[in-house]
Amino acid sequence: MDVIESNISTSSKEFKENYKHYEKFVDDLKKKINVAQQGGGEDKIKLHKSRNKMLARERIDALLDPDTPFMEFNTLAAYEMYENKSPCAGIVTGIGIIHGREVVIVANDATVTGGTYYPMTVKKHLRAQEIAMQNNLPCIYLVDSGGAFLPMQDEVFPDREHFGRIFYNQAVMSSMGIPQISAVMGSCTAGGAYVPAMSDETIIVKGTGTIFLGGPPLVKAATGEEVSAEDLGGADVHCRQSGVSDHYAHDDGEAIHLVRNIVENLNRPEKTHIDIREPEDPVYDIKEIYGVIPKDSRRPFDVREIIARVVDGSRFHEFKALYGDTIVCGFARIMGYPVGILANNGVLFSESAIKGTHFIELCCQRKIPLVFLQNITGFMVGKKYEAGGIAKDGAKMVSAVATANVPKFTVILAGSFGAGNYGMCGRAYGPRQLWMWPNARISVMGGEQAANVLLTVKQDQLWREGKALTKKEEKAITRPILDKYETEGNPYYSTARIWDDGIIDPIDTRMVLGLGISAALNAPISDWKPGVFRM
Amino acid sequence: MFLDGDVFKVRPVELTSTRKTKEKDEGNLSSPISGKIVNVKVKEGDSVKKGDVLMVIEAMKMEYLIRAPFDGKVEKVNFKEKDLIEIGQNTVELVKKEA
Repeated sequence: MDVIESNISTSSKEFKENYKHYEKFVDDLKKKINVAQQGGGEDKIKLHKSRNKMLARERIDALLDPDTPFMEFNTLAAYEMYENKSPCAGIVTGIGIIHGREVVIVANDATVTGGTYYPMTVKKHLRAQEIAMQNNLPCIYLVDSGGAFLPMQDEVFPDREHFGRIFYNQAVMSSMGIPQISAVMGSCTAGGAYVPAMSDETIIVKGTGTIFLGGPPLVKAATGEEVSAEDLGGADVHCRQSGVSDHYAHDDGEAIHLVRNIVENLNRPEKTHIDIREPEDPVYDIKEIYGVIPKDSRRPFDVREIIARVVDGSRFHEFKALYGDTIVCGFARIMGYPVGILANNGVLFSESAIKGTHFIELCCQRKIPLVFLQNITGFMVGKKYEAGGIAKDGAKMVSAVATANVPKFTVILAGSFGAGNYGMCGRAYGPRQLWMWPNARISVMGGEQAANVLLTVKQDQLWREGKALTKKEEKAITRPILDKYETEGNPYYSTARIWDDGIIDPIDTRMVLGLGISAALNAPISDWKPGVFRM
Repeated sequence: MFLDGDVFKVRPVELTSTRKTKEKDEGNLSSPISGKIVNVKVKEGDSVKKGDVLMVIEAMKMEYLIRAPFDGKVEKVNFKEKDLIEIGQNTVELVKKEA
């Protein structure tokens, strides 16, 4: 394969300015992540530790094989939601390695409002389970939660994708042969009691772990019986009498040791075989991406400069380079794994969509994972393009993306707008993971475009009545829309609501894609069965 | 080299490739997209350096810069601000400066 030749001058004024500007994005991201990872704050942490309990992140560290990475999801979930009372949405989720194999970990953080489930906590828990299901990864639940956040019961309890779905998923995954393992390291009340009860194998910690459908206050109210939490649902009750738990631990450390022992005996099937090579760093420094992304988000950039800094050896076998050149397609390796890359290099035209579709077909036939590098302002609009059938050509690409049988990964490098988001494997198209860079923007169209569309509609309406808008009235219509799009297009607004799996520093792009592909190989890759392409 | 009683001659194999490195794209004065001219930076008779921005075209939320592909002199400016331009239309007639 040929090495991509970079046309970037790292000594240019433009590069240096971009770089400086981008460093601010990254610093800001790191600050926000750091705050979220503190959980409920100093006092809560002190209280938690005084009960002889480890913190959620300490538990995960102890559980994983030493010196292996933990790929955390949605660290900034619930960011600036619920008056910021649920940092990290009170739950830590991610993929880690135990005894050499990937597992999904879901750990409640009891320092955040007692580990109770806000709407985003539920969504984050369900997303982690979805990742486990798609990638065929065992689930480890480190339970320490008071259950649903009662004041918001209408947003966490009744619907399809609410609390009940957690246990539904456990049953379905267990039936698929995906192990479900719980360690009860704190409260596990009411609905939450079903997490250990629905698990294949369960551990409980004496003194701190409790499992019951109704806690002592509820029992007293219902029947008048007075009983302590430990006597009602502690380790001795559940390991010796009820059989709700299988293993007895004296403290968190012992519980973690037992989880590792359980995983050691899972007899997981071999991973899917694909052609893997020795990983190799790119020729160009990955950090140079900071200087490649223009300071002004309205300026396009050559996405090959990004590819050159992400793929092994900067080697790229480009496909159809001279055709439909607003999308760049080609084969490369990331951390030794073969990938097919689709990357935007401008607006999508019919030719680019058809080329993208052809390329996806190649990857599906050859069973090569797909990586989408999104920077897309949309499909081209206008009379000429509609008449040329851009809608059906876009549909071909969307159909190919939707039905692709190979693991798909999406990274939003900059803009993600309109149908371009669909064609480039947005959240709705089931990428195994979707990551955003901190400079990214996402919305159905640009704020200015949306404001102008709505303004035109209003003007037409008034024109029919023989009236017109003053400049001031026009502003009164457009301003709130511009503000709304500005707020909601922000990547932090997106990640708070779990429209993605997290915001990453661009220099971590190789690593998250490599880990994602490695995890994906735990599931078999089926044969491709496309739908009907409109020709 | 001897193998199973036979004698083999060994010589190094050189992989040769006829692959040409990509020809450097000289750049283009035609519009990459249909859109609106938002800024004209040059007028007739101006001398420009390679890489100078000649015109800015706005389309689909982005600003596309038309840069001079070589040092030269502006012979004709084909569009003015707020004009609409079609994809492929020439923005500026530029004459290469004789070296």
